[in-house]
Amino acid sequence: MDEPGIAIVTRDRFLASIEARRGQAGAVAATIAAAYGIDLPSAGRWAGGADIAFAWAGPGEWSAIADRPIARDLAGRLAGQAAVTDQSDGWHLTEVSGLRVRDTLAKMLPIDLDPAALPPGAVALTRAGHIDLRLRHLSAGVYELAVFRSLGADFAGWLEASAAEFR
Amino acid sequence: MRLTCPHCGNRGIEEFAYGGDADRRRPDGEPFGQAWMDYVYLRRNPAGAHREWWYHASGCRAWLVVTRDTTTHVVASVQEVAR
Ligand SMILES: [Zn+2]
Repeated sequence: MDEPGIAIVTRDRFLASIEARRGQAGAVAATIAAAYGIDLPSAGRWAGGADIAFAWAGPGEWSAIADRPIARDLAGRLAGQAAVTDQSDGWHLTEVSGLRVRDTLAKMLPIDLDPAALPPGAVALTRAGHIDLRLRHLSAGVYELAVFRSLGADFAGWLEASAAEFR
Repeated sequence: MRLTCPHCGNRGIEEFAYGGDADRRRPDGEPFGQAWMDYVYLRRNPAGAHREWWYHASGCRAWLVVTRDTTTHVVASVQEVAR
């Protein structure tokens, strides 16, 4: 079967925010590397895999995205180094892919989506219209879009409408 | 107008919120009077170089100090505020 013009899948993941305490970013990175074997990514990047990943979420901040509950484990390991908050209920996650995925996203996202500017491994904190959004470029042409859950239905409506012509 | 965030790169102005003149100073310790009136209400509104706060609201949520020419919108510098 040909690759679809656009494919949209809602994802359930366990999320936690990590905010390094003042001067503790290095210690946080060391803890994460020792515990999960992942180097905390620098600005505009994510690292890890489908089981657990860490996405840059701002200066000194990261988001953990996992296939299992993660916040309690992180909070224990990072005690004194970072504030950890379970965000699993807070975000609406969508995975989009397909031949016309960038044409769809370009209708609302004000950033350069060309793989030269936003390659796999990249994270962009931006907005879709008035909805703040975190984008992860997972693998070539596959994107994860995270918005606050209260805006998820609105966002899904926009995404469906924008994708309709590429179905 | 676009700003180059030190963390996120070059972004459109719709991602940012304006925070006003970066050189104003609160007249802490002054009794309520002219100094507070000036601080709250009066702006220099220069034609030319201006240092101003910008917040990357839809991005990394960092506060930035931007030096901008108000007559041309040419941005001379964007600096992160020390955390
Ligand atoms: Zn930024």
